[in-house]
Amino acid sequence: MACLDTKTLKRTSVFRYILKRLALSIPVILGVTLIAFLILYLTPGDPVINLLGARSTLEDQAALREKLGLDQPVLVQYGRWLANVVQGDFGKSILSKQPVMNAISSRIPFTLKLTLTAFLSSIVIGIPVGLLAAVKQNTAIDHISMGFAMFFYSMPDFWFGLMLTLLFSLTLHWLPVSGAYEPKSLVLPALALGLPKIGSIARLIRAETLEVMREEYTLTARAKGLSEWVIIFKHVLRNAAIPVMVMLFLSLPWLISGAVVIETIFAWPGMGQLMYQAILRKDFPVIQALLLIIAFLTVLFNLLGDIVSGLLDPRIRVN
Amino acid sequence: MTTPETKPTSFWVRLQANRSWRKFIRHKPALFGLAIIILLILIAAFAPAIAPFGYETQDFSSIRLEPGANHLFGTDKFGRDVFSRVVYGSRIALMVASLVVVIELVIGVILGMLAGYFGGWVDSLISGFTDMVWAFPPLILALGFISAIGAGLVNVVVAIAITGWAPFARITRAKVLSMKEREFVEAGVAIGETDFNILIRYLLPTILAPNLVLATLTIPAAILMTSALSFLGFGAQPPSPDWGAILNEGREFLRDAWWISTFPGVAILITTLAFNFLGDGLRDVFDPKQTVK
Amino acid sequence: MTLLEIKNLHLQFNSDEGLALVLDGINLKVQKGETLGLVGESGCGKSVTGMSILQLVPTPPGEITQGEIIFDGENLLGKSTKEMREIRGRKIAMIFQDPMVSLNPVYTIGNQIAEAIDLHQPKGISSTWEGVVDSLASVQIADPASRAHNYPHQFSGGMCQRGMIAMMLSCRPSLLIADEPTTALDVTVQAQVLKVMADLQKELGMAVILITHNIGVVAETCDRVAVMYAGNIVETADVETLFENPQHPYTRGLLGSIPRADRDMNELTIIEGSVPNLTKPPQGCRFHPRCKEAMDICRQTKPTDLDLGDGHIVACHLYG
Repeated sequence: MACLDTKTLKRTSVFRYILKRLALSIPVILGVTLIAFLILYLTPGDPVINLLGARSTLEDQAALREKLGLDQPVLVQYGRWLANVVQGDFGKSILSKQPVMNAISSRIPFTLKLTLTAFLSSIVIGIPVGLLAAVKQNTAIDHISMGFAMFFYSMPDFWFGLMLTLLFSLTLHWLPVSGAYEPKSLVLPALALGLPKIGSIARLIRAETLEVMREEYTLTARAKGLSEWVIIFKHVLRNAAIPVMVMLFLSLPWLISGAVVIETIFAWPGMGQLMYQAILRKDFPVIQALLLIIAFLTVLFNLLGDIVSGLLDPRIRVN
Repeated sequence: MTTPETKPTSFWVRLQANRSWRKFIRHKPALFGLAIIILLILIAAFAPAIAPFGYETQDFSSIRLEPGANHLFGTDKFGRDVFSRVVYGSRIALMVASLVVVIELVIGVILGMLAGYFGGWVDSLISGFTDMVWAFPPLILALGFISAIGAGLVNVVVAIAITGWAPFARITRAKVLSMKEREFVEAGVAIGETDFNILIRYLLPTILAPNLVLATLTIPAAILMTSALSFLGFGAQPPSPDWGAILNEGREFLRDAWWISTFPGVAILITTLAFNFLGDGLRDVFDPKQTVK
Repeated sequence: MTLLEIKNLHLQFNSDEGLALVLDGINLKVQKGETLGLVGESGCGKSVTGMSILQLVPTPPGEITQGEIIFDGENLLGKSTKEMREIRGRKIAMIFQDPMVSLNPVYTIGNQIAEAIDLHQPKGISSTWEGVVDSLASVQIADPASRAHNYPHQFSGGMCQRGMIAMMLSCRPSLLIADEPTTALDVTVQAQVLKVMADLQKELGMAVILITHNIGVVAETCDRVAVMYAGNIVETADVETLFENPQHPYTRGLLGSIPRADRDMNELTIIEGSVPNLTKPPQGCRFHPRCKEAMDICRQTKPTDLDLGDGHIVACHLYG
């Protein structure tokens, strides 16, 4: 009976915690939409022309002016714009004349495929390296792996991408230079995006692990007679995982922003390349939509990170 | 109110707290980073003396020459000496990065101090705003601004600076919150110091160390971001010897003239490495618990 | 019967400021079932002594350079890491100053006790879970079966320390090293924790080394006392002798520095000066710069242990 009670108690607390976090992120999301909206007003010139392009017809311009309520106060305009955005209506792309969402939706899978591959490969390498460095603190293993991490952490990813192309495509002819026509095409952009992230992940894991290893409960675990492996894997890792999970979730949007550069270099047809092209050609509806989607993803991952850490941390989960 | 420590700190805690300036002097990577930075500053200062050619000097008789005795890093499509361009580029990299960081520091420190000191609705407003800016990956937000205000090096500085101050605001706010309860600040309030005086004379000195560490660690990020934007063509415009811009110009010749894009990248990597090594060392000394990214 | 004997233990730390001689030839005996108080100012090496018995001092920076730690007839310093692990928690247990940070926050109390029981498999327990509940009951946690499901943050400080005691004593060790076990607790729960410890000590026939800077706690709970100063044990005696007839000037100063109701406040003495920096310890007797009775010899030669009879040992030139 007692067991059942504590379990239901746990569930309600998690639920409440998640609700609280959700409520807290609403103003942030609203603010983010406001920033994306205002960027258009920072641009010199008539917003309608900016949105429709210089070659649009006067009728179209008048229609949009009416639709956006440009004769109304800015707050009303924002409200109307937001109402459209919430329904997924970002307007039409100036270039393709297609609804923005159509242009973007075909690109999302490419970006997801690229960033997730990069993310997973950086985790798979970064976590063991950071852990090893922490366990072997101040030994040659630690110095070498942290030097390696610092090297990647400081790496300009666009240059790294070019160097990978130079080596693997132009010199060795193992992999295609660009495009997304065959599965092999994914390798270079994913490496260029993912490898530099190994640096920050390994450094993070090492720092958090060392922090936990300094805690007195680690000393208690040792005084109990547990072996180093049990101490590391049961007591240290489980605690270090809490901040690490938050940071990993937070770093996903950073990968998406890195994708702007990498997708451009490798002509990878994802959202990043679209962003680059849209900025070059001043395709404002597309820029606004991409800004919002990326910001929304950031807030979402931030929230997910907090929720996962809440689930891992009984101090948040219980009570 | 703080009272003198009455409970003995445990042996374990005392062991971990053994840090001092000596640690910085013994911190070999930090000293190494500092040495490289000093070298870079000297190179930037004496660029005209170091560079054998001007950064704009074209020579159509020596187009895309391989690295050799005359042209250490080879030449580009206009016959310009890549080594000279990279040397001059250090001026842009260091100045742009310092400018970005100084602007971020000023915005962040002012907002963070106001939020931490006054609390209440001021804090809610500023912290809410900070969270919003924080929610965007900086490169994306900078791209958004550039799409509005146009390309160019100055616009890049503005775009990065007004999107990157959030970490400074956060650590300043946290530090002010913890310091304003201290005795010396309360004493200042008690003797009738103005808010302005408390902020400047009492609180500002206490927030310098963590901000200095963060600033050192932000410089490499600023260099990476400005050169990325220049690489995409949104930053420094030709014939600027900005490292990112040189990289961009060399991209189309990667197959036949690898040196044009390779050497400026090495220069970026060395510079960011140096600042990261120094920043890590400073953090170990000043702020061992600091984890703001 | 001697359970533990520390002979001439030297331990040093490599710190940024140089080599610190933290333990400078410690000699200490603990008899079966007795309570030995280890007292001294903060930083005198009490905790390091306790931790070095279990070899929990991190290496680097710590290093034992000389000496023996004989427990149950065997030198612990000669044991392998694996052999030491079997002694920790099973034969010698240790509890720490701040119970709120000594328990792992992400596991339940029961889980952490069960871990010790599963590891050491003490005799006379039918199941791990029963062992967990019994050990919580033995430290007077009410409703132990459901409390075992709680996380440390749901316990009060006193309950956490009792939980620590339950965990460390669940495998019935013959020696408990208690490092300032009540310092971080409210005064009102200190007595309760000490009583729980004393009751269990009697029941298990266990010896206790009580590391503390609180002379009052020593007077109430200890059979014998060892006084430490700057990495040396300066005086050892049974508790009555030490309080009635302290011999070492440092012990006298230490006892004088606690205000007592039965004495005139004017008698309150404070030892002048501060604990020496152990990277540059004073020559000769480490206490001489603060000692009112220091002689020439004290500045040159380190005093040796002198037996005054009945196990009253003092290291001071006044009695040589």
